[in-house]
Parts: sequence; C-alpha cells; structure tokens
Amino acid sequence: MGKIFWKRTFRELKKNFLRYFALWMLVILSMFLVVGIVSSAQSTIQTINQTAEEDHLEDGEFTLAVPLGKEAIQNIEKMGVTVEAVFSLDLKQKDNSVIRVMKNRRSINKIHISQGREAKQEDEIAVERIYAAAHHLNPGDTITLADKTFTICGIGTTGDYELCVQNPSDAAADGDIFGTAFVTPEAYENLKKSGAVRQSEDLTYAYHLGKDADADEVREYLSGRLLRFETAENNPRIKPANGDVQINIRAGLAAGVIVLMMLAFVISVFVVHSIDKESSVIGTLYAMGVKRKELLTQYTMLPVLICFTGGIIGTILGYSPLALSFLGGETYNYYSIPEIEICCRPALILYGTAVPAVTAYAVNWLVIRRRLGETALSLIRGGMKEKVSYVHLRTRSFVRNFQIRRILREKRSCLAILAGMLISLLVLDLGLNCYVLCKKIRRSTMKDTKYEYMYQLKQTPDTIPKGSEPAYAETFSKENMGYELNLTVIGLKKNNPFFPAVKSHGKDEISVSSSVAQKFHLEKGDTLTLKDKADGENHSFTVVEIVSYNSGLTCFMDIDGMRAVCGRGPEDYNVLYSDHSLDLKAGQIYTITEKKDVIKTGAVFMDLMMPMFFTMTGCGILIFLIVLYQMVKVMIDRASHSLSLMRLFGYRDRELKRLYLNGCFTVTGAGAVFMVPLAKWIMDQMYPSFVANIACGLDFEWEWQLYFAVYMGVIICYLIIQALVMGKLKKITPEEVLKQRE
Amino acid sequence: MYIKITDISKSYGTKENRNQVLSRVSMELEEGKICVILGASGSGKSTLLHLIGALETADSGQIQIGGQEITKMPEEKLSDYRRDFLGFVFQFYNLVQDLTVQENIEVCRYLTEDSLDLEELLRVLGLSKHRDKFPAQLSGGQQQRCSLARALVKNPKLLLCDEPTGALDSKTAGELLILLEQINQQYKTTIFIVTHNEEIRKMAHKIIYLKDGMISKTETCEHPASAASLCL
Repeated sequence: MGKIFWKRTFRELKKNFLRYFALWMLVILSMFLVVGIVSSAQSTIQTINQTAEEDHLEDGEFTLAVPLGKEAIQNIEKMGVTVEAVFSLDLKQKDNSVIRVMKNRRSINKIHISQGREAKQEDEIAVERIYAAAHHLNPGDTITLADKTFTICGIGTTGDYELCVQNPSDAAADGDIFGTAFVTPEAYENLKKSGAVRQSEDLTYAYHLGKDADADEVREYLSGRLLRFETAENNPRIKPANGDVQINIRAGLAAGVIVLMMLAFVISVFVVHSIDKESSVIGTLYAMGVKRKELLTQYTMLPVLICFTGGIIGTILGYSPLALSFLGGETYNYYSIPEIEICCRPALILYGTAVPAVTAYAVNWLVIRRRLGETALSLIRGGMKEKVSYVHLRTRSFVRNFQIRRILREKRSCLAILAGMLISLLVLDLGLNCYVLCKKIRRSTMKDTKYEYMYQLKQTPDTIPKGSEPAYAETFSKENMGYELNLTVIGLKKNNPFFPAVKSHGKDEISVSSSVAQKFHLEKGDTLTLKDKADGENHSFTVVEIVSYNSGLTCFMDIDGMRAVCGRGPEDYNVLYSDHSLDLKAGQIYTITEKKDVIKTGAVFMDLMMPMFFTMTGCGILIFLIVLYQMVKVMIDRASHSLSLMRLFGYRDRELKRLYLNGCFTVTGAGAVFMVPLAKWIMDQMYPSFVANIACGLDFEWEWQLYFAVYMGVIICYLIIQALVMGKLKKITPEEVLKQRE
Repeated sequence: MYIKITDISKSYGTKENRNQVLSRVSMELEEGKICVILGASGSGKSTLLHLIGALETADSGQIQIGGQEITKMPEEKLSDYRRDFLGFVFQFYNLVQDLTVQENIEVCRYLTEDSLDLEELLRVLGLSKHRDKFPAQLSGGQQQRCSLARALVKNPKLLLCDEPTGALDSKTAGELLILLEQINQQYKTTIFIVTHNEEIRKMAHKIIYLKDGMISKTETCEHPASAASLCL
C-alpha cells in the first residue's frame, strides 16, 4: 500500500506542479522573511554583546572642563572604579569631514580591529570602519591630519562610538561627515600641538565599575567640574543597535505568527479543495478497509513534505549571509559594529523548519478527520457534491447573479485572498512607512535647517560675533517605550532668524516641535517632563504651542527661561548660529555643525533603509501574488466542471472570464479599497514602536498618490494572476464534462 | 437542419491499446426529425453523439450540419457552432449546483438574442413553481426538465440527448419524452436521442442500431408512434 501511495503522491505532484511549487515558494518566502529578520537581529545582539565583553566596554563616561589630577584619579579608583582618559581632537579634512582622533585604548573601550592592526608607529593610524568605507580607505592607504601623513594600519570599531556621531544629540550618524581614528600617544600629543585643531581638546573619561562600585558616587565626587556624565545605558552612542534590532525581533515574531495564520488558511483552502475532489476515492478506500491512519498519512504526506522542505530552505536562506545583508545590512552599514557573526538559536530553527510542516499536518488532519467522520457510502456518493449556499438573489442581471454565486461558493478562497492581501499589505506598508518617514525626515531637515553654521561653545567670546545669533541649548532625555531619547531644548532670543518664532515665556513654558509632539503625543496645555542628563534632575514644562519644526527632536524656550532652567546668568549662551563661518578660537569651540552635514545626516536614513524597503516591498508583492494565484487557481479548479459545461454550451473565453474571474476581480478590487487603508491603519499603530528609539518625529502619513499607487499595485497583481489563470482556463475543454459526472 | 455523416471513424489509445469505437459510420437525417441511436454499452452511440456535438474530433470522415463541415473547424468556430445550433441534454443533468433553476436556464439564454420566452418554457416544462429552487432541492425528473429547458431556451436547431431518461423512473421518463415530442413538433427541432431503451425507438423517424462501432441496421418510420403511447 505504501509504495502505491508514494506513486500516487508523486503523480499528484507532477499533475499540480505549479500549485505545489507556489505553496513551496510561499513557505520559503515566509520563513525566509521571519527567520531572516529574527536571526539577523539575534546575531547582531550576540555579536555586539560578545564584542563589548571582549573589548571591555565602558560602564559610563564623563567630560570635564579640566583634566583630572593624579590624586583625583586615585580617589575614584578607591571607589572600585577604573578610569581611562579617552581625550579627543576633532580634525577637519579637505572634504569637510571631521575625524575625531584619540589615543590607542589601554583597558576600556578597546579597538576591535577588523582589518590590519592598531597603530604602533607615530605615523600610523587605525580608522573607524564606517568612515573608512565611506571614504574608500583601506590598510596601506594614507591620510593627512594637520599636515602630517599617516598610514592606515587598521580598520576597526569601538563600543563607545557604536553610533558614530560627533555629538550625542545628533540625530543620525554618517560616515561621510564624521569618524573616529586612533593613533599612538606620541602621535596624539604631536597633533594636539600642531595648531590645526579646530576645537579644543575634549576631555572625556571612560569608567568601568568594579564589584559594588556605584556610578552615582563618582558623579557626586566630580560634581562642580562636570560638563557631562553619562552611564552606558543612557549614552546614545553605546549599544543603540541592540535596541533597534530588539524591535526587529518583536516585529519578526509578530510577523511569524501572522504569516503562520495565513499559511494555515491558505493550506486549509488548498487541502479542503484536494480532499473534496478526492472524497469519493477516500470513501472507496475507507470502504475497502484502509485505515484512517493510512489515509491520513497518504493525504498529508505531500503538503507536509512541501511545507517541511520549504521551511528548511526558508530557514537556511534566513540564516544565510544574503538575509543578513538584506534584512540586517542596514544595521551593519549604519552602526559602527564588528562584522556580524551568524548565531543559530534552536528555537528559531525549530520554528522555521518544523512549524510550517506541523501547521500543514494539523490542518490536513482536521480536514480529513472531519471527512472521515462521514460514512464510507456518503463519501462515495458525495464525492463530487459541493456545498451550495441557498441564497436568493434579487438582481435581474444574469451575469451579476452568476458572479455573486461564484463569490458565495468560493467565499473561503475569497477570504484567503483578502487575508493574504492584508498580510502582504502589512509587510509592504512596513517598508513604505520606512520609506515615507525617511523621505519626510530628509525633506524637513532641508526645510527646517536655516542656519549655515552651529557652534557649540566651550567658552563664549568677549563679544557676540557679528551676524551670529546666540542661544542657550541643552540636551535632555525623555523615556519613550522603554528607550531614553535625547531632546534638544534651545533657548532662543526673540526674532531669531534661524528658528520659528516661539510664544513660550519663562522657565515653565515650552514650545514643542511637531516631531516631538508626534513622538510623545503632546498637545497644547500638556505637561512635558524632561530629565537633565548632567544632574539627573527632572524639569516639568507646560506645552504652550506646537511649532512646525521636524528636524530631530527639538523644543524651544525663550532664552531667559532656558537660562533660568539651567541656572545660568542673564547674558549666558552656549551656542551660536550663523549664516556664515565665524572667526572663533579653537579653544572656545566644543563642536561645529554645518548645514550641509545636518542635511546629509537627514538623508542617511534613506540610503540605509533602501535594502529593507526593497526586501519588504518585494516580499509583500510576492506573498500576495502567490496567495492570489493559489486561491484563484483553486476557484478555477473547483469550477472546472461547470467551466467545461459552459464551453460545451458555446461560451467564449471572454465570457468565461467575465463569469468566473470578474467576480474575483470585484472582490480583490473592492477588498483593496478597505484593506489598503486598514493595513495602513494597523501598521501605523505598530510602527511607532518599531522606531521608538530613533530620535525623529512620526510623520509617516501617506499622500493620496501613494494610497492610489498601492491600490493600483493590488489591481496589477490581480491582472498578472488573471493572465496566468486564463491560460489554464483556456485549456479546459468541453470533453471534460463527459469525464466528470455527478 | 440537414445532417450528413460520411465514413466517420473514431478510436482511443495508441498501438496495442488502440480501441476502435466507431468504424466508417455514415448516415443522414432530415431537418425536424427525431433520430434514436440504439446499441449496447460500448457500441459507440455516445461517441457518435459527441462527434455530432463537436465535443470530440473524428479520426477520419466528415460531418456536415446544415451544409457546414464541422470536422475540420477550428475550436473557436466549433464554439460558435455549439452556441448557435446545439442544445444538450445529459443523463446526469449537469446542472450548475449553486444556480437556481431559472439561473441555470439563463446560462444558455444569455448566449442568444433570439431566445424562447423563459416564462413560457418554465410553464410548458412545469418548472414555474420550482424556478427559485436549487438543483439539490429538485427530484431527478425536475432536474432533467430543467436540463431540457436550459438546452431549449436558446431555441437550438439540433438537440442532442445522451440517455436523457437513463436516470429517471418510467413515469418521469415518459413525461420527458412527451416534452421532447412536443418540442420537435412545435419548434421543428431536429433531435438525436441516444438510448439503450428499445421502446423509445417507436417515437423516432429514424432508428440507428450500432454494434461494435458500426451501423448494424437503419430503420425509418414515416409516422412514428406518439410518446404518450410508449410502454417504458
């Protein structure tokens, strides 16, 4: 019996090859997507955590105005804390990019070299990976810093600059405009003396807490001379990728459940159709003494095999470098992390390989079990009988009636089409929301950045340089869905030409930008509480207005109010905005930010998100095409007897299409009218959590043209499938009616 | 519609599995007549009907219907031929299960602009009160009458009936034959009836006896008996 069943299974596969192939592809694609997203994320987290341990990632860092003396260091070390100076010099290159040069690290935040080695000679330098890639630098190449030529001896990354931004409050990293580099202590001292340094030396120390050591104790000890104190958890430069990909894991697992439900539904339609078609055979075999178990094995074998092999291939592809580059590539290209090593988790492998097969088995088992609940005789007699919905239609048009009857009869397939459409649209919308958000960030950054230069000052000049606008800005933090986000609050003078006019007055009022309002769901009259990153204190403000400004997460106050919040004097300012370059001394400047760099960082998201966008769009379209093909094909297969009969009566292809396919077209077209906005609405509810840790607004509203384009995409997909199925429909001949008798 | 069949042969399979179903069959039938094809199972009677209905293609020979040679027609033309000239009645009705009686009839009415009056047809065939029922809600006889109504609604010139009474009890079968007779007389429809029930031959103008794929005997009858007189 087993041999015969195998033969039969093989023949069934041969006969319906395209259908099984489509199911196989659907499983492969679904598992590739789910396993790919989750495994890329897990591998990224594993690699980052492992590297952090190996390279002794800091527990925090602090920046001072003057270096610590020997005694102070000893005092801190007595608290069980290891301290290492990570001083830096910002050097501008000919292409206007900035290289932050530091000494080789000794014990904390050690450089993770991916190519070459650390600098050993005075003329050697190890360059950060993203900067090196953006500037096409390789070991053996040379770069010039302060008129001195350095040979690149290595390319690497450090954990304290995983998000490699010049200022912790910068919205995005961009290797084109900023990177780090490491030289020997001697080379560093020479550079410091060279006079080419644009800004004063940054005096930051990294610390490592020993057993029972407390960061707050260190903060207290340093208070008074502290410019910045940040624990690793609150430092936006440290391990931001983990947060990003953690979201991917959640999204991937959610997608996994949704995809499984869709698979189960598609398989159930598939199986119900096959079993209905075979019901007289099942009845005959049953009558002849074949056992339930044998029948179950026979009829579940093929779909289970298809799903099992599809699951294995999908899982292998999901763990492949291909998936890592498509689905995890943007993490590697954006964050300064070492090469991601693929890590295999048994639970995910089990999900990818076993779950599709188990789903297929379970669905088959349920359907066949229900069928075998009937008597053998009723199975034999009812072999070709189909369930009919006894609905009386009032419409007088025969064609309309016929189409409605088809839809009623094929409601399960129609539902599967709509479910497949919704799931595909969700996948597609994830990609499109990414695209729209990035596009809007780029556009608003260009629109809202009106200054040409922003100087963050260490010391204010004696007089305010002509043509510049002083402001007092501080970075605060606020929690959003479990992530600490940096917000910049700028205290502005009245009639500041570079920012919108603000109404807020005094230290209790704040004007929030539209991006902040979206991100934190703020409205006029709400209270906004922000945490001061230096002293950890909370400040509460009343939102007096929402101003149209979408570049990063920014709030505005009047400068006097801001000075009062930060405990500064009436003439104090720490930022200068200007439409031209200012003649300031290097020692006065903390950082210089140019408009073109800000605009570039706004565009960087777009470039990074493109592979993800294309993968999501491609997968969404493919899933929809496969589900649509499967379901329309099932409908046509189930109607093959009546189609053959129609042909016998003299119906032409065009008329058959009108009767049998146009109803489905109506379902798809009308369904898309609801599904496109529904999927967008669902995705809009989920999407903020996917970008919870990114310092940007939440403006991913679509233009009507995009809705229309998605709708037309659905229609085009249907027309493609219709053309494919028409080929099959044309092959149905009148003779078939003679073979298929009730 | 004049029908002329000349030297028609048909076989299935190839080489050693070849099964010659019809062998050089020739016959003629005048317009508006009833022809009954009789024969045992496997004699080729259904195949002959299918060839006339252009449901199958002959290996050799010619079939002329109203002066048109159909054996060499392309599929599209054959579709037009079936659409414009033919009506089919099957032993197993072949009704579309999820369409009502009226909708099943409309399937064929849709194909012509010159259809018979639907109300009249429903009344004549006794289906008026069943018009909104689905096939599964009808008896075998009612289903076959629906099948007949569907075939007739487009007012075909040629009606092909394959064992139309095969699945019916004798009373219902008798009623159906009376209907066929009425249609033949009222609309001058040429009718082919394939059956193995010898009694039905009495209502035919021409009787073809098939045996092993060949015509063993042909009878003609100027004044056939009325369907009502048959002892089924």
